[in-house]
Amino acid sequence: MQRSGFILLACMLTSVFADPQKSLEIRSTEELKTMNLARIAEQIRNGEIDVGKEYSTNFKTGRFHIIHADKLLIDCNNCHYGSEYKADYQLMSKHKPMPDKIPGRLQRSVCLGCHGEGGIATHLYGRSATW
Amino acid sequence: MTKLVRVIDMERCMGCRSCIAACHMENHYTPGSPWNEMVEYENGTYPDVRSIFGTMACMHCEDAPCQKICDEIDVHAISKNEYGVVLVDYEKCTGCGYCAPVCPYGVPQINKQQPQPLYPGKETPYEEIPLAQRHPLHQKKANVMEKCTFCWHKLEKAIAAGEPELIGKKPEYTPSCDLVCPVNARLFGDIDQEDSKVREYIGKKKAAQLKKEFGTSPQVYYVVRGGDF
Repeated sequence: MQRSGFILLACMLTSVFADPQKSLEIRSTEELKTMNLARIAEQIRNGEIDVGKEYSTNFKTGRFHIIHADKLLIDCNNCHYGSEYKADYQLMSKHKPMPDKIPGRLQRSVCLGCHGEGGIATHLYGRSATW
Repeated sequence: MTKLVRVIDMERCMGCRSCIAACHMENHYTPGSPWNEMVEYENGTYPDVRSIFGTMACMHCEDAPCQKICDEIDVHAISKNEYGVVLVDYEKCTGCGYCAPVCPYGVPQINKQQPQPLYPGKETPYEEIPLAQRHPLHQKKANVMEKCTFCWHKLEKAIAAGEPELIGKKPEYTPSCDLVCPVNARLFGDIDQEDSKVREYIGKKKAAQLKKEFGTSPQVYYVVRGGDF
């Protein structure tokens, strides 16, 4: 009983002395955007948002683009950029001709933002991944 | 414990592409879906300019994202065996293409068409081998993912013969691309063997893995020329 009273007092003091301007500032920028994406991602995983059943990268009917572009509203330019890679970019398929209708090359480092360890999406990249 | 790794020395590689030709021959090359590719660029400013060559194939990552995503969508076509080799089961692969965007190295090759002959109208001796008589990893078909296997069909012979310690030492137990390099820019072997050449070479020449930020722990090491990349 005494312990819970102490925790309640600590919470009250924290809320009194917390900088309201700072917390408002954090929530109004990137954090809010990430929280929103995380919520949608969770709803997709729970099946609350229908993303179809076709596991493919087809940009109209496949889950891949429905999830990333249609539901999470990630702009095409976030992943697809430019018409060619930098000369020293180490990618095996960089000399492959671009498929039709793909707006530019695929920038893989973007995936780390959500799919690295601790990210909001399915964990694909390993322990040392930075995001 | 066996962990097979490859070392590619970009300080020695001169871009002759022998390794690529060897891979094409050994693994029944499908036009448009190479298993081994040359990445070539120049750095420096005139007159101090250098050409940089390095070949890329599957990195056989310890934490392979292609395998993770394949399991995640319940296809289970990609597996990693006890020797650290990442392999694809063509019978299970649905050709969904999820593995291609998640690979940091752009390795998975999805061949959308039925494999075509190298020279239309005539078949090379390799193509004359009936599909059913080829190794399962060479029984290629349309709309599946294919990639480098570390020449698993050669490595499994060593394992079957009870000589896994000779992988990377005897030519018949060594991937073809690593055998043909005229300047010894490629090494292959077990990094866990105390006397292995790869182990010594990685330490001596400070060979490193590419794109470490993805944390996939690739099993191909590069002696990088012209700075990190």
